[in-house]
Amino acid sequence: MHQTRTAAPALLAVSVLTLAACGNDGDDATGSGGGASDYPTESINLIVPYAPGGPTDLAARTIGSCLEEQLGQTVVVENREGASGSVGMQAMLAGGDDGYTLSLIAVPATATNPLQEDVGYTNEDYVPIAAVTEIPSVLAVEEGSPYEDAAAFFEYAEANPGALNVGVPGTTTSQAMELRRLAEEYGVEVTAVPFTGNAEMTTALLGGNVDAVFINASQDVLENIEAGSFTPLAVSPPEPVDYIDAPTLAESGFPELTSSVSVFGLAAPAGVPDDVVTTLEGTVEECLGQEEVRQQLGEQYVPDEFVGTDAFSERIDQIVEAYGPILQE
Amino acid sequence: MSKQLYRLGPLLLVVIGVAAALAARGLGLGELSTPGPGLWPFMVSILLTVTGVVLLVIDDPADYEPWTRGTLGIALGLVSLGAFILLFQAIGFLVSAMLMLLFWLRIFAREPWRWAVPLAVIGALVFHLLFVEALAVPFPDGIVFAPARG
Amino acid sequence: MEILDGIGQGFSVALDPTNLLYVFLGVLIGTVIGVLPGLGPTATIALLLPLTYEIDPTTAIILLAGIYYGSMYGGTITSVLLQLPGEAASVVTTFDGYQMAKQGRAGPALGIAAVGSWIGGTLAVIGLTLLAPPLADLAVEFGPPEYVALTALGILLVTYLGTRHPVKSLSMAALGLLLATIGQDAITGTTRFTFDQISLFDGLDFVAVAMGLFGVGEILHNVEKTEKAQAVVGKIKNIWPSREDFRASAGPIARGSVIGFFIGVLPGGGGVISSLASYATEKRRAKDPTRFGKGAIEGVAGPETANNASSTSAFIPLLTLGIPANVVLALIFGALLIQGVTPGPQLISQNPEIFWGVIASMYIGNAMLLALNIPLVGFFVQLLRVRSGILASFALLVTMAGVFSVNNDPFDMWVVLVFGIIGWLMKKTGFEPGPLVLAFVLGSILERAFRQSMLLSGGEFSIFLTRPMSGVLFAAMALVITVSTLTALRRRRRSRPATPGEEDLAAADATAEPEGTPGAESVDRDARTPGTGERDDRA
Repeated sequence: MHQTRTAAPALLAVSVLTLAACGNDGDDATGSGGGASDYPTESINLIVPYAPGGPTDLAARTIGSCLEEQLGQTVVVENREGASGSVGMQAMLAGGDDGYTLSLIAVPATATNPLQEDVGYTNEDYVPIAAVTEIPSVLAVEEGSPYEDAAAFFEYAEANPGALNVGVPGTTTSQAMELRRLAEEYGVEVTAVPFTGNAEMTTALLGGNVDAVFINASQDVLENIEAGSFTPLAVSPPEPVDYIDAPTLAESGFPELTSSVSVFGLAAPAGVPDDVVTTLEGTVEECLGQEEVRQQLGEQYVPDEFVGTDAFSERIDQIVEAYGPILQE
Repeated sequence: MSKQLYRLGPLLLVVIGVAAALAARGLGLGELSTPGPGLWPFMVSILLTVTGVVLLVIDDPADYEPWTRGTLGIALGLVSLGAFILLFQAIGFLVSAMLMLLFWLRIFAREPWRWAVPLAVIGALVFHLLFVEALAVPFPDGIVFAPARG
Repeated sequence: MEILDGIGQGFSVALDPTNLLYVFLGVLIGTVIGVLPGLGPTATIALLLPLTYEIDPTTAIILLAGIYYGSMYGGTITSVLLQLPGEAASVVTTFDGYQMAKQGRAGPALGIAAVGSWIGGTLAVIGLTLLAPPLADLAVEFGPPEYVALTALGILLVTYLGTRHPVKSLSMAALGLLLATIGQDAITGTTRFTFDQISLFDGLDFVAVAMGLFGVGEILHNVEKTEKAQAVVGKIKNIWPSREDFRASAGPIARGSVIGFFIGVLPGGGGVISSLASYATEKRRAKDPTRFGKGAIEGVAGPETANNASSTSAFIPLLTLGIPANVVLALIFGALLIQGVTPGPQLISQNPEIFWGVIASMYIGNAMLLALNIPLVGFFVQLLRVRSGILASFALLVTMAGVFSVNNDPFDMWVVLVFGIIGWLMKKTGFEPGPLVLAFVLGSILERAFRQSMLLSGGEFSIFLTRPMSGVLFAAMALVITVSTLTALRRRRRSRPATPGEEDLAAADATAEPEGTPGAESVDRDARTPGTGERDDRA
């Protein structure tokens, strides 16, 4: 629907920026490059395939300004949303594989889109460089729900197939696919009701229109949990997360259901020189070690253990393997 | 025969409705308890078809304006706008906007040259300044004032 | 007492010189941006969002909110002067606003819109101050079945908009609903009717469709008339609404404020439905509904007021529950998140300076907008002194440039062109673009809610009738349909004898309708066919 333009628009920028303490883009950054080669020698375009204000945008802008500081070159963050991220991916590929056009990808969506439809790129067309944030999913019910814990919830679901309505963010999201696997592999059947985002799902749960939601545990959801309006029943990653007081799905009796974690990370077009990947990987790792960057990203979402290009690729391969058959049906 | 020509409008709606309904069926209707992606477009196309059929019967010919020679002007106007879009993609905003304004001011607004030329030049410049310089809209690179990349 | 303390704290925040400056900047940018078709508040706020990361969160929200409601004022101007609605909510304003402008009454139209917007905005802020928490509960009570009921009501109201036969409006609404399904299905991700065009994956852009159908369609229609079009200069009567205008508008403004405030609270579609509902209310209440669509000032005053009231009350779910009601508010939500503030149930207690500061700034911003817009009315009315051919050429250029800037995609320019042709053909065949465009906007909400309801109920339609709120809404719709069918039948019987000298659309263009002409009651074309018989032969 809309886009952030690359350059600071003069008319608006002048009025706002002169009032703000200082401008945030176009600053001459200092510092030395962290790689072996002399990359980068010019400004880098970082494409966000989603709208401003979302988790990808936040990750991109935070990591972008840190890269700028570390590498000594301007990083221009550009939102190119549309077609569930495909427009931005295409824009990145069109920018060339010299390492000066990068993108912030959102896995699993970035990996599952091309499995479903011809979206103008495939999973071979890009190289993941490093994960910036990881957001788990959480199965949550409303305050005062009859299901106090995961056991009660799944017991009821097993006894009454399809009776429980669970909100998910769309039928091809990892949340919806995990619920399908729940029915197919474990015989626990709930009705997945697709919504278009956290706002809609939150409304539906608070209004009692669904029995539970299986939702990205982003800050707004954590806020609701903290306020007591949501009760978390289970979380999706393989290991428990320390900021949500709930067992994992694996611990609740579904050892296979560990894939529903959104990973936001840096990627480049395939064919980008190896030393560029190494430089960027190292710089992101350095950035994620900085307290200020961690704060801005949300301390809890920064992976405890750095996910570099190999680990990230492996993660994508796993997702393709787990969801590919379901999606291509 | 010509008295029935006005029925072409509703007829076109019926054709669109039927075509869309068929295409929607191809998308998969699913069931009411699990609606497929085609169900809703199918329902809407049926509504369109039904209203189209009703209009075929009841619509009032007086709602329809006659075709005139001015219709030719429309074709010319459309071609000029199409040319503007193509030019805009090829050579950017400024020059194509000037040509487009000049054409419309001279041909359709029938302004004399002494008005049309300055208005077109100044108008295109003002809009260029507004959209490109002030609002930083990334118009395609122009042959004049090519914006610096990055 | 709590509210008094809160609002006191709010004003101390909002009256801070920096914040005052930002609220002024916000409403100023909003007005300017609203005037440029294509550059709605969404594009502008997206544009400015990164710049606000650097400033204080309260100040950032004050600025962004100012842009949002400021653009609601600005959007009226092009709708009235050029029939170019840049925002969905302004579509309704074009019906009577543009006709008023053609009759030389652009000044009163813009003036009453500014006054109505101010009253609506201010009343809604008062409502927001007093009623925010209980209303937020109402907003979450609205589940998918209620949205089906609400948007279906919107579609029903759409058929009231036209001056022609309701079935014609209904068929255009159906076409609009169909066009809304183009693109990737939000639920399954399946692409529908995209003909393998990546540019169509996100569907047709509202701005391109609306400006094509209205603005470009109208310009093409005028091109067809071979005589050189003249400026309406001779007809500009007054640039300020007369006492009579104010009297006629008082009721619509009052009702519009209430309608807009309550409907605006509902996430999704609130703005459009509220201006539609206000228009339909006024048309129903009018002694002579046929004046509507031909320059009735009530048709501008009511919807404009409702639209501003709703843009204010849309903040309620965001500030109290953390639920953004529309795209613009989702951007503001994002801005807050990036600042480290999560809007939600705890916002009032954790960040009272944001909650109350933003509310207080809205009182100030609305007053500033009124002061800003009154002199602007005079200025914009002068634009109509320009010969209409020149105006049309520039309007085309700004439409094209504006549409490109929405997605930075030349594809949208072709969409404008195609919909310009459709709009022109519709004008020639007596179909009206309003129902199409509005149904297009509501279509995706209606479809999604319908499918969710079916999933929730396991395919039972009874879900729409057994839930209290949607049951009531559907009952109300049934009542409206019955009553209007009955009155239409009665009217038809009464107006059987032909009324010669009936208004012709062409005639209505040239001469202002005398207000409240009693004979103008019949909408049924069969009554006037005799008077226009010669046209049939040519057709």
